[in-house]
Amino acid sequence: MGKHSTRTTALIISAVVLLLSVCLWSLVIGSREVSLDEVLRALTDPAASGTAVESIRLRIPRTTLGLLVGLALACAGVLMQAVTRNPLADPTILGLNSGASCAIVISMAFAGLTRPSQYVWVALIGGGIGAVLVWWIGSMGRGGTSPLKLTLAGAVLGSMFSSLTSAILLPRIDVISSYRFWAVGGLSGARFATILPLLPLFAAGMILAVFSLPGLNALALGDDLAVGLGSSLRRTRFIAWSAAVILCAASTSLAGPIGFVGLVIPHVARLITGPDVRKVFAVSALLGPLLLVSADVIGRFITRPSDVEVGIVTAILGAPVFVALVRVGGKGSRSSAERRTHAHSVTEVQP
Amino acid sequence: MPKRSAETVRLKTEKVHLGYGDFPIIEGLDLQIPQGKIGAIVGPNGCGKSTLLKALARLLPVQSGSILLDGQAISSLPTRSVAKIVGILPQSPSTPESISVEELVARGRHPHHGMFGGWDHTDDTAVEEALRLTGLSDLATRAVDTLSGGQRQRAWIALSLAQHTDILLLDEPTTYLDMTYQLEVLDLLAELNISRGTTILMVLHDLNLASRYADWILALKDGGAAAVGSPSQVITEDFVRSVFRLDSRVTRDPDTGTPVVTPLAQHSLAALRAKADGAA
Amino acid sequence: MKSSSTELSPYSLRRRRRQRTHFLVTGALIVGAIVVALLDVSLGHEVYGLNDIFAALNGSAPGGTAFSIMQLRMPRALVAMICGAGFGIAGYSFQTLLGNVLASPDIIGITAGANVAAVASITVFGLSGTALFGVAVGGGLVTACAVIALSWRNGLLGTRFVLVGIGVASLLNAVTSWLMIRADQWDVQTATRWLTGSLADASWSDVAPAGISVAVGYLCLATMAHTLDVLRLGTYTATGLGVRVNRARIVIVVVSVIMLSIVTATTGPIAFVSFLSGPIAARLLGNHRPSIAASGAIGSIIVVLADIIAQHLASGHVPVGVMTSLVGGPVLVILVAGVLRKGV
Repeated sequence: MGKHSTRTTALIISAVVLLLSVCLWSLVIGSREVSLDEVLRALTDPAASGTAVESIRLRIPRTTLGLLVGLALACAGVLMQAVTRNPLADPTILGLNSGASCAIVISMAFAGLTRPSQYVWVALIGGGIGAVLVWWIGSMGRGGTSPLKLTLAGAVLGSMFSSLTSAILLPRIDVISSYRFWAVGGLSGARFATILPLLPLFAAGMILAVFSLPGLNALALGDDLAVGLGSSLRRTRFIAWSAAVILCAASTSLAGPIGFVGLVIPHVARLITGPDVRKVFAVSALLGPLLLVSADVIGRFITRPSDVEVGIVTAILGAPVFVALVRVGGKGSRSSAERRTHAHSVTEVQP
Repeated sequence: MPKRSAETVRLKTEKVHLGYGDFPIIEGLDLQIPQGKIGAIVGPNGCGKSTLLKALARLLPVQSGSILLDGQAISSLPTRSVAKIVGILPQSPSTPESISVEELVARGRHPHHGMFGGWDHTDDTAVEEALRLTGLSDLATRAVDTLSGGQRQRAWIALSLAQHTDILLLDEPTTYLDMTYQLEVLDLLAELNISRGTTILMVLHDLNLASRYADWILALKDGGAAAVGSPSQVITEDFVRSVFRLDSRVTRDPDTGTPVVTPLAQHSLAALRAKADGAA
Repeated sequence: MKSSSTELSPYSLRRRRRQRTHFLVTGALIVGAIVVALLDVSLGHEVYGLNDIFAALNGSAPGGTAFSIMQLRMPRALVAMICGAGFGIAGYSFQTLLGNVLASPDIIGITAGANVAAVASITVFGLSGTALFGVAVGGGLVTACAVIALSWRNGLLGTRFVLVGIGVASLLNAVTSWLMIRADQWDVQTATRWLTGSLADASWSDVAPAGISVAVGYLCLATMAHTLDVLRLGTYTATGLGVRVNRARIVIVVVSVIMLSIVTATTGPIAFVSFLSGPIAARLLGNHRPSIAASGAIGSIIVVLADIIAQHLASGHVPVGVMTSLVGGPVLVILVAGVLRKGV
């Protein structure tokens, strides 16, 4: 037990150190190479000026956004996996991102909205609708929800929303331009002016999330047991779900739909801390920003002087991890009903 | 007139090793399944009953040794030919949604058709007979997933019946059913053996049901056969103690003459209360 | 047991009645598909009657009419019909094979593979026409192979196949988005049009490859219809009934993938046709009858009808894929709700 927690502490400390260094790198790398001294000068001396310092000053909001989005998406992923008891849950898979994207496109095309602070509200509604639809479709039929059904429902709705999006975009060349950049999920163009208005939303989401954590631990045991332990299922689910929707909507409005962060980080965190949802959440809050800022740095580094958007990098990194998870997992199709009653014998379900 | 073949053996194993990867489950088992009789496989959880049955039905590969049907390795025979001789009812089979009983049973005729379908009156007859034997003729148009547990199990048995096989293997046909349905299913299987001479081999959890309904019992433990023989021969107090680690009393059922296993008195609420009162 | 009289048992009567209904409904759907296709040919700036169409086929129609019918409308209607059938049949076989109405080939990677290959060809390599077609087919096939290889474990397991497919699709879709960003304005329009599925460029040269692949695909799958039915009972039961499960699954997947890749490369991915054809056909035929032909006919009808609406009711330059998207989405949800309520 002692050795275990020493190892955990060591890992966490390394993660923090990595995070700080990655943030520094984030300030260094870019279309214009700068040196570490110039970075330190830019950070510490408000009167400093010069092109190098300007570049650095632009990267600060970008890095900050990366931290925020990584935090939000990873934590949302933890919440979703806990609420759905589905190891494959993630904002993209569960329809939040596609719903939000479609809503944003509609608002761009028909209401002329252009600023994230405007369409974040639309994203909230779209994300919420998407999530509800996915849950509804995925829980139909025998056995309630199962990881497979939810994933499929998410993919179905994702495909539907994306066709709708293409359909709306086709005659609107003006919107296509702004949309396609947003759609890939990227941090370029980040400005504090656009980020700051949304900070309260990030904060609200995180606070709600933290409130729901104790209930989520009970939920993991199964509905019947959770109720038996005095947990209010509906309230916990609602709070956790709302927190996830808020966090995703805020991220998606600022950075576009970025996938796989919410999927993969909770698993990595769980490997470090074990199943206690509170610990997983805390570690994910650390690893999420680490992944996202690293992905951004990699994207900028590989294709200097241009960059590869962070959404692409997370997809390229995340998809193989997802596939690996599926291969290792095995019985991903076990329904919630089966899991509830899965007491005694190793009943081998037919493949 | 049921055709009672002489004591022949069509399906047998020779020194067969079964397992998953490096995990051995059955080691070096020699087993002969007598034709025209009802056999039951019993044993503690995880001893490999289901694995053995699946291997006998060629659903699982053997690691070494062989499983022979009519003298040939079962894996080398065309699977369709095997399907005309050996039928299997797996554990918890998955029923497609809203399929009717008669459509499900009709699937049992598949091995008898070539690539282009070709349904004829023998198929009709087989399905009808299967429905009649299982008492499902009136429920034939109902959806299988609207039936009770016992009825659903009978529908799956009817599918195997329509298949017209000489040998029928059933993996835990009575688990998850309550007592009435358990007896319903076992009575049906017994009738089948009597009227058609079908060789039956089933995995059962309940020793007492096994004694009542089986001609012979195979008990598995630690990867091998702990006992093979008639219920009276196999089910003894020593047997129950060594295989199930349970102290029991084995008596003879006054009506059927088959052995009945009863746990010792100490395993009861009355005894435990008495003990607590005595100690106080 | 069998009486010598010719009186049929109730079961036999029911079975024959079901078979008759099946033939009649499938026949009606096929006729419907042809009728709708003829309608597509006849409607337009000039409305042509049936005799005009026959005359054009005979070679005895006046020049303008003949050109309009034979060079413009007929190939478009044929491509719509054939590709619609291909989408429908592929959708039905995947949904049945994987035992889940939501498991359409659209979302499990093949379409994403064709998409990324096509967009790369358009925006990076500047391909078009036959070259574009070939690359798109290749993209679909390679992706299908990758998904099969990644999800293989002693055979093709439905759940893993679907999940791996979704993962791979996400990756490929991300790459597609990235390519769209890199592209210049002109290519973006072309690529977007390809991605929504369009019949505007349909010509006679498209008819042959699509027609052959759908015909061959249909014949293969029709012979496996009963096997497909038995596969739904689960691996163990199917093996017990004498089906070579792995071999059957592979054949069905390979045939469907080839057919789907070719059809997708011909028109671009037309949304929802693969998804909806199978469930609609099942509803009409009353479930659990092999409905390969019916699914194909419904796919044809959907695409041709959508094309008619897109060409004539809307402003005229709306790609067919947009039409199916707009209508298909809500229809999908309603349909899936009804089908899934019975259990998946």
